[in-house]
This record gives sequence, C-alpha cells and structure tokens, in this order.
Amino acid sequence: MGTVGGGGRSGTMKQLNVGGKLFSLEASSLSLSLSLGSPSPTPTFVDRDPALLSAVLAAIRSPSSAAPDFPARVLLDEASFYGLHAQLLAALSPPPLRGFSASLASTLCPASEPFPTALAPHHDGSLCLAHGAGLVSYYSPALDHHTTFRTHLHRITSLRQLPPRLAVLGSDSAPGLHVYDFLDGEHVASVQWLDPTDTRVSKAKVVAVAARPPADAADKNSPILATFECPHRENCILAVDPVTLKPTQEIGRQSGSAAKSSAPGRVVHLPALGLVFASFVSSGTFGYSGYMRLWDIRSGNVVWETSEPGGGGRSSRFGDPFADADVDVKQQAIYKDHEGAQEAMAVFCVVTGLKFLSAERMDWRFGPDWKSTATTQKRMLNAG
Amino acid sequence: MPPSSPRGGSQPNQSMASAAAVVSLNVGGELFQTTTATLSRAGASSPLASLAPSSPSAPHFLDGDPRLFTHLLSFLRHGRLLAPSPPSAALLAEARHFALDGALLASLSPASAFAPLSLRPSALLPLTGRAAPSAVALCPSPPHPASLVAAHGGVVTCFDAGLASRTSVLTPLPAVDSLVAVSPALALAGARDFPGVHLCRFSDDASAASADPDVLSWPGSPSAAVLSMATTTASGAPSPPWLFSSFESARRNSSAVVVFDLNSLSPVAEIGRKDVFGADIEAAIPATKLAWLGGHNLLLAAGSHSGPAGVVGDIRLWDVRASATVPVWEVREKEDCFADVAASDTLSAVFKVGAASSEVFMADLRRLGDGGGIGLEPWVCIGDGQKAAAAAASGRKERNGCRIECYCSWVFVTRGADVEVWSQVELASEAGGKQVMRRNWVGSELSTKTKIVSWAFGGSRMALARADKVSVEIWDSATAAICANP
Repeated sequence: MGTVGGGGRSGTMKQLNVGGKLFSLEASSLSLSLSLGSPSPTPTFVDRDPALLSAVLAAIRSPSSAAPDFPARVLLDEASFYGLHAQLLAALSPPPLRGFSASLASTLCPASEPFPTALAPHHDGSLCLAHGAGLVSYYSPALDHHTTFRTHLHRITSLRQLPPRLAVLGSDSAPGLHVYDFLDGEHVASVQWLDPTDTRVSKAKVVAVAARPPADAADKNSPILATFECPHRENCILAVDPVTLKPTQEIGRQSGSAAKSSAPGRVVHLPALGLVFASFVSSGTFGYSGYMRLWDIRSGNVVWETSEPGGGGRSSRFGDPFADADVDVKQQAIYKDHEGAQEAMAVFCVVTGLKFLSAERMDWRFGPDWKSTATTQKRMLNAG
Repeated sequence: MPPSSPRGGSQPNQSMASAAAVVSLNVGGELFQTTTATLSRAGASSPLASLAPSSPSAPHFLDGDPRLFTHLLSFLRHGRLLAPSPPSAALLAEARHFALDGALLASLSPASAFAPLSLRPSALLPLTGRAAPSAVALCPSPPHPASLVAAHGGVVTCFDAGLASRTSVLTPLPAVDSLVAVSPALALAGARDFPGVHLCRFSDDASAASADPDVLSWPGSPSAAVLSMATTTASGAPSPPWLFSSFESARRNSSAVVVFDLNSLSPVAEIGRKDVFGADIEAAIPATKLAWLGGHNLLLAAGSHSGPAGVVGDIRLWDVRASATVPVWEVREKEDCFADVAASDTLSAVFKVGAASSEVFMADLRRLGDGGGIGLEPWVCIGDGQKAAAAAASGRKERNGCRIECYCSWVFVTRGADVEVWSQVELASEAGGKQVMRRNWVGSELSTKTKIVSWAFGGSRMALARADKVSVEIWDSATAAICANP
C-alpha cells in the first residue's frame, strides 16, 4: 500500500482507489479536491494510471534511486493532479549548490544550433537558454526540454527570466529590450529608450539586464533594470515596470565619452537598500580598467563609486584592477575578481549599509579563505 | 507494472458520486477499474466502448495480457503512450484485438507536436535491395497515422506509423520520381519517362484490387509520363479526395494537369493544357511541381526549363472550380528563376528559392489577388537581398538543386545536405505588430552527409532520403519533446 508523508496519525490518511489499485496518502499533502469528501470507509475512486502514481511515490520516497520508467515531465504532470507536484519537484531536483563540491550533473544540448549566447537560471532550477541565431529554449526545473522558439533578434546577448512565463532579452546588434512569453513563444512587448527632449537618443541597444522575480506576492516593486546604449555611446539604466512593461524611470544617464561613463556591462538591483549596482570593465593594452557605482533608485544619484586603477584615493595607474564584480544581495557584499596578475585573486568588501557608504570608507579585504569563499559566492550568484 | 506496486484492491467502491460510471474489468485475472468516459474514447468500433458499469465483485472478463492492457488503458486515459515510445509488436497486436491500433498509431506522431527547432534524428530505416531511395512521402496525418512510403528502385515500401512493420510492393517502373501517400493502404507512384500513375496498395484486400485499375493515365494521351503529383489533404474536407497529376505526352509536345477522383479513380477534369507549336518552348513549360492550397482552393503549378539563356519558368495558380484554361495568377520567371516553389496555407504566401541566388523569396497570396500583379514584382526577398541582386546580375545559368517545402507554419529549404527552416515571428501589436521571417538551421550541426534527394513532412516527423544511402532518415520532434535529455 503506497503511503507518502511523514505523519504517522492514521486519521489523516486518505484512501484512494486509483484505477483498481488501493493507495493510502496523507490527506494534508493531497490536492484540495482529493482531500475533501466525506470520510467514508470506502476509498475514493480516481480514474488515473496506478503505475504512474506508484512511480511518483517511489520517486518522492527515494529521490536518488535509479531513473524512473517514465520521463520527468509525465511524472510531474501526474503529481500535479494529486497535489504532490512540489514534493516531487524537490525530490527530482539536485541538492542545493555547494560551490566547492560542484560536479557536472547533466549537459543540455538543444536540438538545433546548440551554441549558447546567454542563459538565465531561476532559483527553482528552471533555465532559459538563448542559443544559435535568436533561439530561446526553456528547460523546466527537472531540466527536461519544454519549448524552443525563434525570436526576431539575430543574436541574444542578455537574457533574464521573469517567472512564471516571461523572458526578458536584449541584443547587442538590434535595438530595444524585448519580452517574450517562453511557454508560447510569443512576443509580448518591446521597450525602447526614448527621450522626447533629445532626438539623438534612439535605437539604443541593451547591454545588460537585471530582472528579479517578486520576492513575495506583496512585492510589486522589483523593476526590470536594463542598461541601454545609443549608437553614439550615450547610455542609461532604464527601470521598466514588470507588470505593464513600460519604462518608469531613467537613472544613471551618462555621456559614454570616456571609460568612466561607458555603459555598464553588469547591473544588479539591491531592493533592500534601494540601490542599483552597475559596473563596467574594459580591457586594453594596459590591462583592465573599470568602475563600480551604486545608484540610488529613488533619487537617481550616485551614492558611492570607485574606479580602478586609481580609485579609492590612490593615484597609482598600475594597481591591480578588477576584471569582474558582482554583488551578493543577501549578505550585501560586493565581490571583485582580479585577473590582472595572471592569477584569479578575489577581494571582497563588506558593505554594511548606506551610512557606511556615505562615509566613503572603503575596505577591500581578503577573506579568511578568500579563494574558496569568493568562488563559491560567485557561482551561487551566477546560479541565481 | 512493477510487482512491488500496491496490491489489487478488492473492496467495493460506492462512495463517489461517479461510482455509477465505474467499470471493473478482469483482464487475464487482474482487476482494472476505470470509467465509461475513458472507455468510450476507444471509439465505437472497439468492444471496450460498449462495456456497461460493473462492480468489482462482478467484473467484465476480457481475455488479454494484463501487462499490455495496462498500457492500452493508460493510452485511453492520456491520449498517448507514456512509457514504451515505439510500441512493441505485441502491444500493437493487443491494440488490434481491441480495435485500438489505428488510434494508437495516429497518436505516435501527432502534427500538433511538430516543432522544427526540436527536430532530432530519431530513426534510420534501412531499405532492402541496393537501390537508394529516390522519393519519400508521408501520409497526411490528421486523418491517418503518419506512415512513411519510400520508393527505391521500382519497389515502393510502406512503414507504419510505429516505423516497425513494413510492406513492399513492386511497380513496373524502373525508378520512381514522384510519390504520393494517400492513406496507409495506398500510395501513388509516377516516373518521368514512363506512362501513367501507378497505384501501390499495401493492404491484403484482394477484392478491391481486382476491381480497380492499377494505372491512372491522361485520357487525352495515355502514353503520357508523370512529372509531378499532389493530393487534396482530406482534413480540408472536400468530400472526394482529389489527385492532381501533371502529365507530359510521350512526344513532349503537350502537357496538362489532370484531376482524378481518388474514390472512383476516374479523371474529373483537365487543367491548363499546353501544346507546343513550333519552337516556342518557353510558352509551354510543363508543370514539374504541384501543390494544393486547401484554405484558398487553389492549385499551384510551376514548371521551369533550363536552356542556353538560363533557367526560365512559370508559376500559375489555378482555381479549379472557376476555369480550366485561365489561371487566377501567373508569373513568368526570367531573372533568378525559381529552383523550387512551395505554397503555405497558414502563411498564405508562395515561397520560392532562386536558382541563381539560392535566396528565399516570398509572395503574399493576398496581394496577388488585386490587379493581377501585372508590372508589379511579386517577390520579396526574405533572405539576403543584396546577395540575391548580385547573383541575379551575375547571370548564373546552372541550377543549384535547392528544394523548398511548406509544412504547418514553417518553410523548409534544403541546401545540399542540410535543411534550413524559416519561421514567422509576430511582434506584439504595440511594438508595431510586424511579422518577420527568420531563418535557422535544423539539427545541431551542419551535416557531413550526402545531398538530400527527397524529403517529406507529416505528423511530427521529417523524412529525408539522401543520395547513395540505402536508408531513410527520420527526424522527430515528438520523441524529443517527451523524452528527457540523455
């Protein structure tokens, strides 16, 4: 007799007759329509496949067992009927990422043009992959292939997922930020950076996108942030409302005439602080140079900035500038990655709050075990 | 079913409101319970559909294998097979016992699961004999299971939709140039140098075969050879399915498209008869490509001729009901003549691939209607326009052998050994609402195999026949969609 759920109380068990086989499941774990009904001694009849339910239960009970007889998508469909979808998904998903013990789990190869140009994971494990000439594939949390569709772009260079079904994408070869429905493959909206007072602002391309799914149902205030760059290199960060998909605010407009005002290649939204982190790195004959800025999303002002080499009060041109930087949103720390000295060196700075930043005290310091910590954190960030 | 699964229930079941509709079945000693609604999906011809509700204490007894019946019941519940993707011969035999085999085969390759960007090579079907396949065709899949027909030498072989069992028929033709699959039991074969359309029947039904003719020929010239064929797809529901066949007389001085009624196998009409008088060959190029546009009730007939001045051709659209002598639309191709033409119902457009430029052009059917398009260039290049103009100006005179075909809402072009697909992307209405055609390659890498000789689309599949390969390649998007990644 199949059982699921940890409860040992017999009163909460629900008897199901699935296609002639008896199952006994904990009522609280079942979907509403199944768990309701009079508590009669005879089991509730369900016209479903008993083999599928036992495969679902086996997968939930022993997640690491051998591959089931049925594809993951079939099992997930069946589990959602019984209300066991979340449990099965947790059982099918790999354990949480620990950077120092990460190993290759699976290789996804799209059926056509499998040359990835951008990817966007979501924290539930699903993945949007831009590949080939403007193709986007969506892989469900169990990493089985769901859809592949063609966008009108020829090459997608920035991509973010906006669950439940939107993909925000941009290209460095065509203007505009575009929103597609990745389940239907339909174009939903386009956002262009336009300035009625300045006609030179047109045909701006998207360099980087930050889109965070709302943290909870009450969170209506997590805009899509995209850095746009005009053909004449003028750039800005545009905040786009995730519901109406219309631009709401323009922050950080820069002329783009120098490296210090170029379009940021990475943008991260820090909703807890109301800040936007933007960084730009260029590499040339003399190594890397770049800047990091924190913009206040409400006022549109720079809160804190540093540029390397030569930032932080020192005037040396020959420092060890960063090659890449990212923000840990939870710990509110910025990590930077140095590659100027042939070896990956990581330094991080603990940003405790706005007060600390406004005092312009900057403290890049090595972590106790700087190498593993930083790589772990970076991978966690990249994995969403 | 794994033996560790829950034991068979034996308690009576009257608690649910739907208990009246619960059917209990004893199949080979094992108890199954389901509802009448599920069983009625088997169709009226199946004995399962007529089973009345019964209690577990008095189940209906069915003499069958419970292991196989599990899969059949699962198929009735879900509308497709879940576990064993290609059904075994035993399962098909069991399905035939319950008159479910037609529905089972039809569900294997549903047209709704066709996605060109998810096509993966799924099977390589070997053919008997030494001759490489010269033509392949797939059954129109909504009314029929998508069975595959391949002509190799003078033999025509039919694979069922499960791609497991095969039936071969010998035709009197030395090689088949054009092949059409009408139903899993009937295919039509024609050759460029031999008279008549030959019927290949794959069923064992001897009575029908003796009464009907085996060859369909042009009444005006019985020795005429077949250049191309097309059928009306039965899903469009013109009550008798029609066959269009382009004939050229043995002396090559007259040609016509003849319409046959496939039920009575008799000629119905003759369209666009052309006779050559004198040396004006270009005025009467026989149609080498026919395509039926069910949504528009139009027949596309195109023919080209390669001469010292390069490739010239004409494309005509015929409204069969209106006139058999005057086409609805006609275009003469002099510059960058088509290498191949195809028409799409869902996109309502005619597509051609240029013989000189090998770029893809599109002509909107809705714009062809008004004014006849005289003086107006109907073609819009959706490929590289500059390259097309340069190629047209350079005046290349040889053909490139590209082929073009439309299936569902996609356009496919073969380029040597590879297939490219054009898909329509519609932008949101507030972003302009434009519809653009975008290009992709089918498959994960450029092929190093030989040139594609013939191809066909049907169900969720694409079938390819390559030069010098005695096998047929099957690409499927349904298995790719269901199966998890390896």
